[in-house]
Amino acid sequence: MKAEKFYSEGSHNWFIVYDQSEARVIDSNVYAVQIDESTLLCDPGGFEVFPQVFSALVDMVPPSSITAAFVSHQDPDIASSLPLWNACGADIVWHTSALWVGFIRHYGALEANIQGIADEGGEIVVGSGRLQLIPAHYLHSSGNFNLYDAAAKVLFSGDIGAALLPPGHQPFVERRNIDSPEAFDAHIKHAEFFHRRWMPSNTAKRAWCDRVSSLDIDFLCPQHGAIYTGKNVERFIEWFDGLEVGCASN
Amino acid sequence: MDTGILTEILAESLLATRQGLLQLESNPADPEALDACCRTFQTIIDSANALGAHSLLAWCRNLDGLVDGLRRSALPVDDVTIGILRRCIDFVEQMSETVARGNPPAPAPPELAESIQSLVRGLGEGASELLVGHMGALALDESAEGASARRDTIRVESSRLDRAMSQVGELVLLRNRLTAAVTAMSPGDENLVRLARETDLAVDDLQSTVMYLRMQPSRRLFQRLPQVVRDLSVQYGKRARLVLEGGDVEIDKVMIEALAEPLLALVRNALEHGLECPRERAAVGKTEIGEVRVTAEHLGDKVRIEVSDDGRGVDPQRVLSIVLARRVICQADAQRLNQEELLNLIFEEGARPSDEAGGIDRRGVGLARIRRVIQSLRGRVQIKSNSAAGACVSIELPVSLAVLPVLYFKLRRETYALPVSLVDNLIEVEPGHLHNVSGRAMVQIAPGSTVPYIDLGQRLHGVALRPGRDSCEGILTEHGLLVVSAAVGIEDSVVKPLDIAHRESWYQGATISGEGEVVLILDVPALVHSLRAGDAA
Amino acid sequence: MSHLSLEEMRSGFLGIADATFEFQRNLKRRLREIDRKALNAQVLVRRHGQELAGYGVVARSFRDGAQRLQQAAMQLQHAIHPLMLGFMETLRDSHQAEQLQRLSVAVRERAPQLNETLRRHQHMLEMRSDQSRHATLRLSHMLKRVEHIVTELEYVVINGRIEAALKTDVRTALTQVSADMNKAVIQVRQLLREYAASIGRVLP
Repeated sequence: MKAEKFYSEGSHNWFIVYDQSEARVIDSNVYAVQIDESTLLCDPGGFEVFPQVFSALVDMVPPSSITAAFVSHQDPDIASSLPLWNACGADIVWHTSALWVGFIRHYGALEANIQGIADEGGEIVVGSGRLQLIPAHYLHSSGNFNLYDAAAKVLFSGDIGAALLPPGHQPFVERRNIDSPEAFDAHIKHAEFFHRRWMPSNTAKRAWCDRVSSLDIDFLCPQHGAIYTGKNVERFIEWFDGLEVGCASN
Repeated sequence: MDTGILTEILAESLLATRQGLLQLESNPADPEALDACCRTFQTIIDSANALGAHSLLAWCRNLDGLVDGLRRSALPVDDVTIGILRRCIDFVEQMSETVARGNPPAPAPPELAESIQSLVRGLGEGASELLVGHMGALALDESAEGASARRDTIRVESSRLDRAMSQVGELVLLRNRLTAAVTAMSPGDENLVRLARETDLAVDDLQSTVMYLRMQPSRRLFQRLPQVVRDLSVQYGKRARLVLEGGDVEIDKVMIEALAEPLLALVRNALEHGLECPRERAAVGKTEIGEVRVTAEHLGDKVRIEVSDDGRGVDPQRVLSIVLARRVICQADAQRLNQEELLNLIFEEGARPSDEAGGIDRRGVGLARIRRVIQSLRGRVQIKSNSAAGACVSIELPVSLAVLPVLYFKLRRETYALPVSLVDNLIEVEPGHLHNVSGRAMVQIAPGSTVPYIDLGQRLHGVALRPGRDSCEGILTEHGLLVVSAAVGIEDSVVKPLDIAHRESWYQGATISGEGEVVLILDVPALVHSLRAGDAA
Repeated sequence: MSHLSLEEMRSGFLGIADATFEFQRNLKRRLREIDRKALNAQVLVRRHGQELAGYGVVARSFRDGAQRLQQAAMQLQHAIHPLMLGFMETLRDSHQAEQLQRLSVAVRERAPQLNETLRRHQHMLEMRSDQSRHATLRLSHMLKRVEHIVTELEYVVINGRIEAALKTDVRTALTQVSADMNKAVIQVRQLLREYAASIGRVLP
């Protein structure tokens, strides 16, 4: 896997670890935000790919700086590496929906410090920064959150925006000719089935689109696929708003 | 020895001298005719010197005293003198013809030398004094001559040299690109790297050879000074001795041409305002004869020209009161300046005092204009004065304008350059060392040393660089600490003028970097000046 | 590596990752400083013309050396990568094996496939141990390279100080620049020593 810094302002940095080399499990991205000397992981990933994620990530941040992890929902591709991370840093504070705390302990590490997030959301402090926990329930999990960094204008959207891309993909949705929707249209084909099939609720989707449209977002970061930047963020929200979801028959 | 050239140059000079003598004869009181005559005699002496015609030179040196006597009006311009001068010219002509035929010239008829010497002997002590420095220079040239035995020369139109220089300039740019391209190939091909290094050295050599083709001795710059000193001494009722040193120091011909006026103005200032009249000097225990000294010396790739006098000096406080009255600077800023900096305000536009103020520089070329000329030659000028012991104006110039060594620096993603000659040091910018002193950003660069903090990010891009957060590096110059994203490297560049640049531009031109990028070259004095003007407003 | 428990190895490897990070960060700062000093020397040489040409060569070699060091340090980071990967794979596999080993012998005897799985795990661990040894060798090779470049830089500094001593006119300025370069190289040497020591504590 590769790691890349995609936002940097003084001691405030965002990283993406992407393009997983194990093809037998779903390709996932791991994000990390470092503010001052503290790092928070976003959806630290599955048990099997942990070695890849860890070794790519410590090219960018020292392991001792990792103090917290945000888990958008309970799926194994997102949180099954918990016991291994916990073995490497027993002080890591885990944040996930209060609904899933007892579930994700099943991955191992009964002693891990897991904080439940209330349904209405909240805030996580990282270094001198404050990150907002935005409710995104039923997209796709029943207890589901996004993480918004207002200073960096980064929205970590979990499974929303996910695309199933072939190996060797880029970390960004092609942005060289961002005024033209061509690259977005090509990309979103890889996202359509995922959203129709895994997202169960049109109501939840509409509420999310309304809420997120009011945020100032430069980077929309899904856990699978590639980052939407600039105009592609608006394009995605518009596309998602118009998409009929919750269909297993197609 | 190329006898053709010898004949050609001498024939020209001899013809001109003959014509000068004719004019002088019909109008003995005409200082211009006398001046012209002296100049052509000087050319004869110089050509003999340059061409290594030793016996001719030895003979010509007999004429030195004679010419000098005429210049100082110590010799009467009468039939006797003119007669002797004619015979001298006849003899020089004879000698040069002999040389042209490839034979060594015969010695001069003894009675001619005798009559010259008897004339010169009558002149008294002062005569040799005036040209002490000058003769020194000649003597030096002659010994160099002896070492290199016979030297061939050729006369070339200066436009051809200019063309050669500009072509070498292009070659320098290509060389830079080649070096950059080879460096970028990693791991490089050993042979190619060596080849690039050798090309590098060869181009350096070629460049300096062509550069030296355009050089002329500063003697040319000095040649009008004795006359001026003599005239002005009479005019102001002062007694002055002019000492010239370093006549053999070579400078680009463009500079010689551009410096003539400023140098004259500085010498005039020294005589008019620097030197006291004999009585005043005696009263303060100085010798009655004042000294004006003009020197040229090499300092690495620079030339320093100094005009100093042992007169009354310049009082910094008086300069201050004038610049304050004229609002060149405000009181608060002035308080931050030390004595030397105050003194140098004399070069500011508008600092020229009026006649009533008992002027420092009332006529001729103003000091501000002199500074502009010097800056346009990429040089700098400053004044030092030890009141009562005189003043010294010091001009530092690059030896050549052909190639400008620059320091490239980055401002975020963009590359800029500034002349290496301005850089005193490169230092790290410590956020803790920034201060605000009466509303102006300052930075402590060493214990007890605080200088203006000039954020080029703010000045050139409108977005400040934040030390400690953004990548920052300080370039220390005499104007303050220029803060940039990073200093990248140095390179010899060739300056291309900016067509679009308006008068107030902060850039002195552009160059093409080794990477093939067009890079603007910052005009730091212009930038600092406009900042100061902005602050004052 | 077998003399260390998994627990010890884990803290050791995390220590290496942290130390590498710290080393990289400090080295980057020092290299920037070295480069600045060398650039300073080049400026000084330019300002004094031909007489300092000899020192110009020193300054240039110093910059080249700093750049090579930067590259070598990057390769060092790349050498750390497989080491981390190898260890974390070991950690993952041991974690799985541990779960199975916790089962009582009686249970394991009744499920013969389990023993087979455990044997496979053991085999994998041995293979990974080989890979780790290989990665360790590579790392120590890279460290030697960095050391070699630092030695070269030290040699350049000595040359610079000799050159400086020979140039009477500008001796003070050059001596200052040479002393600065010397200081920067000593700091890099110190960094490298500390880093090598922290690695030596974990790797044989």
